[in-house]
Amino acid sequence: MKEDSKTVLIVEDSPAQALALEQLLEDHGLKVLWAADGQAGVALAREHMPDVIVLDIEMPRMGGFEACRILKEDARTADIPVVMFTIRDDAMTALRGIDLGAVDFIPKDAFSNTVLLETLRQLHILPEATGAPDALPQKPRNKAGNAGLPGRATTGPEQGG
Amino acid sequence: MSEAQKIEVNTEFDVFMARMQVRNLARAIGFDITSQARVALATSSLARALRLGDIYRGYVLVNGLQAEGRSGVQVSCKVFSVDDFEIGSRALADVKWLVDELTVEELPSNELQVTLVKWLV
Repeated sequence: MKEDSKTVLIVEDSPAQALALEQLLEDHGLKVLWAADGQAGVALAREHMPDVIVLDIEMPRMGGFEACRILKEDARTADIPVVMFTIRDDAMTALRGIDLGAVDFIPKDAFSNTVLLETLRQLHILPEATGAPDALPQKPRNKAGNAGLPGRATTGPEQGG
Repeated sequence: MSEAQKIEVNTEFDVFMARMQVRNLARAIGFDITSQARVALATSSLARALRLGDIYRGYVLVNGLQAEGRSGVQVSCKVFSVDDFEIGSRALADVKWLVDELTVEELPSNELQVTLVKWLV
């Protein structure tokens, strides 16, 4: 990984989903931090000042909306772009996230990784794509979602909380 | 302006596909990230409100607009064999907050068409 790699903070309570995202982002040369709830996420953001925060909504202890509100009210973290990355995709939920200052709202579906990478490019976290798309959309094989063991995440739920 | 794209909707996956197409078009037209998210979310929220890909079948038509010197994205959801035109009325109201225009048309043969437009500002 390059020394000048941008840093992404993933705030996601599902270790499997966090791991899958971590793998995706590291494969694109990004440094990844992980917090398992909003409270830990806010603490890690203040400590590490990541270039972007990918924030789940429904989490224990502190959810994504509350974390986003705190981050945007804190002058130190207010300018860090927040991307809501969530299973929920109803209009009112999206509006709430955007009103709180999230720059993007990406529902978790078969295309979410592609959308997230494109968003990171538009935020200049990743360089512009020069070739084929990173992950061509395809039908999910099953409902189980991501595989993997919850041991590789950079920062677990008890840190920084 | 690009040609309209028609996405037949029979399953929820087709709704995801439509949302992706809308987002891609919005980006190509020059919408910022948040506006891309708004119009993409409006599309899937609209499809869900109409029970499209769930109990009803139909299609989503995605179109770039140019009018009076401005550009926009137009998304039409057409639903076949609707037996309850009150479906999703509350959700439709929510969708309207995400876009600039929302029109509902009851068509012959029990068809319902809802069209949303978001303009580039």
